[in-house]
Amino acid sequence: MLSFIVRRTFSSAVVLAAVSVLTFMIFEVIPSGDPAIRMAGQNATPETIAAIRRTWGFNRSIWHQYISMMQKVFTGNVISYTDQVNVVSQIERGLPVTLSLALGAIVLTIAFSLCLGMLGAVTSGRVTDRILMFLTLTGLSTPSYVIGAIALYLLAYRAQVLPSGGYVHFGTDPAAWFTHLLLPWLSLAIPISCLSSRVLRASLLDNVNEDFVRTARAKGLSRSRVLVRHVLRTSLIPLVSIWGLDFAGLLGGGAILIETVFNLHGVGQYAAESVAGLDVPSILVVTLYGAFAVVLLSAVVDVLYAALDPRVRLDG
Amino acid sequence: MAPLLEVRDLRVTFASEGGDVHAVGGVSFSIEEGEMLAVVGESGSGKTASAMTIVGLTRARSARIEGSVRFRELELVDAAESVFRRIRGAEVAVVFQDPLSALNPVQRIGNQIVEQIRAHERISRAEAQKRAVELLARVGIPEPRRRARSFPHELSGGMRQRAMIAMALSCSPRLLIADEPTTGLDVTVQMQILEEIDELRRELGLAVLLVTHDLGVVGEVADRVAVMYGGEIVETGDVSEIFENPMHPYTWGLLGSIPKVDRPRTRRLPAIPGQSQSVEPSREGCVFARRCPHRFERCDQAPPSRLVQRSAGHFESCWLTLAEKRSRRLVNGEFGLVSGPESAGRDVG
Ligand SMILES: Nc1ncnc2c1ncn2[C@@H]1O[C@H](COP(=O)(O)OP(=O)(O)O)[C@@H](O)[C@H]1O
Ligand SMILES: [Mg+2]
Repeated sequence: MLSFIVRRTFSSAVVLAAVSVLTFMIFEVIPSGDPAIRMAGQNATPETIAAIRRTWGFNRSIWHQYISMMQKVFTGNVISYTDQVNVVSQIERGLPVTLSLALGAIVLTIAFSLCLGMLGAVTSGRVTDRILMFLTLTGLSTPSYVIGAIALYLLAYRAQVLPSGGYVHFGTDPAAWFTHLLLPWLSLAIPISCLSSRVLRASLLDNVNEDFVRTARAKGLSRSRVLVRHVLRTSLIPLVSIWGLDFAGLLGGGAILIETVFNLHGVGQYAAESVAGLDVPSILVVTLYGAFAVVLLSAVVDVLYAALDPRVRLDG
Repeated sequence: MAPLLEVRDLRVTFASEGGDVHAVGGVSFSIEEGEMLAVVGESGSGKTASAMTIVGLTRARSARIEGSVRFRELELVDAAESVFRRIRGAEVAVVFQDPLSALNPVQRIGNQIVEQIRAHERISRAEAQKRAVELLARVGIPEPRRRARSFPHELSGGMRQRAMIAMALSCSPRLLIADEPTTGLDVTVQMQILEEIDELRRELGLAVLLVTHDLGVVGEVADRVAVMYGGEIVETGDVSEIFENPMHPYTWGLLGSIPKVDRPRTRRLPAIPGQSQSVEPSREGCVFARRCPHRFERCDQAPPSRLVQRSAGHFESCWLTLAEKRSRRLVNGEFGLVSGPESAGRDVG
């Protein structure tokens, strides 16, 4: 375990460093990337632009700029070029939103996948299963922002049973927190669970024919116990990594479009705004934050994997 | 008194795309309390299909089952799943081939046994755990307490099969069905496992249905032998009769292909020529006719009477007369199927 932690920490650091370099370099090569011109605003004199360049260090070498930027990242002192606000505190503000969004969406995803996957496997080949296969195929090929927009139109605009956007803190009003997040959760959970319920169904149907399932029946166990303790238990192993990485994506601010559609002001929406403003410091920090969520969660997935399947060894 | 298990004219047919597969074509046998019957035949002869049907574990949904299986006078063909659930594990236990795939890979050995005990008896988890450890010790597993906490992949093949046997015995069943319990294990371990089963049988008064493709291993342990070919039992009798006075040409072939320790290594084992096959519905003659070197017209025209008695408790189905059998069954002084120069020394197939 210790060697796993050491190795993972090291490789994660390498990944994050590579991500930071790549992200930083992209803005060197894209046109109109020069932040001084944008910061100086319209009708700026060349002298103003040159002054900005000097104060912000844009006239130094690219490596110099990178290193001083990373120093600021490590001290939590990154200032946005567009609004001169501390980027880290902006992310901290968006974090409760994104965390609520990601947790709720993944809980719904797991619940939906289990129900649909098991139902499909139990009725495999019959009408229910065929209908499910059709519906899940439709669901997984519909982007979540389309589902979100339709749901928003029907339930918030036409029926007016749910709020049309925005976020309320759980501590302020738990009921409002729930109603504001319900549609975003569903919009995210539907496509993901349509895919993972199909994976679960296939995995269940594979495992049903395994010898150890026949042994479980030969032991005189009830049908439901055979299904849950033997078939489902082993079928869930591959899903842990799917769900884990989906969760990492959501947590890392991957729900950019949904956060924007529902105007939630989470990390994802902040990322969208940063990209729109070509604001290198905030883009860099948001990207690093997302990458950190992914490397952390993938390590957690590996640990869970080994816990669920004793044949898998962490250090091997 | 009725036997513990009585199988009458059992037929198992699998519907498949290429037409029906008649895996078992009318098989009858019975097992008394405490008796060990070995069902022997090449792979594909319908042994597993017969054995699994007894406990309702025939895998395919497409399987059609006809005939009668009576366990303690309870009819099991078409019995409800709830009837099977009560019997499985508690009265009829199964030991499968390849314990690595037959044991749950993600559940500790001890817990697999505990789960079975608690499915049939109202006892505490701790008590069941204690019994699991005792059972592991009973089947000769060293350090049973530690082994109970192991996962199947952490044990050797022989140990895994012992654990499987311990699990099968955990609710004191009356009948143990062992489907190729030693296939895939080291030869020395094979004999140990069979002796273990035999010892447990004597000690617990357990009846055993031993399914194997290897006639060589049953001589020491079984009371009676049923030789299966193409989904039918072609010969059955006491083990000594089968080994000393085999009647059916297929049995001669099986006996001839048993490797002998004192036989020079250079000699090739005479295998039975041809491919084993399932019963064809359109077949008119004897099941074994296609591969039998002693076949004559009659064998292709009509099947011989099913299991005619040849001596006390010894039955077989074959058109050859007793005199013909006596003159043909020895090849080079040993039982064998193949005679004549043209077919001698075939490769082991
Ligand atoms: N699920 C199934 N579907 C179709 N055919 C099957 C199935 N199971 C077994 N068979 C066929 O039935 C015959 C007997 O198989 P089996 O009982 O497994 O033989 P054995 O155990 O003697 O090797 C074989 O020809 C096999 O191909
Ligand atoms: Mg078999």
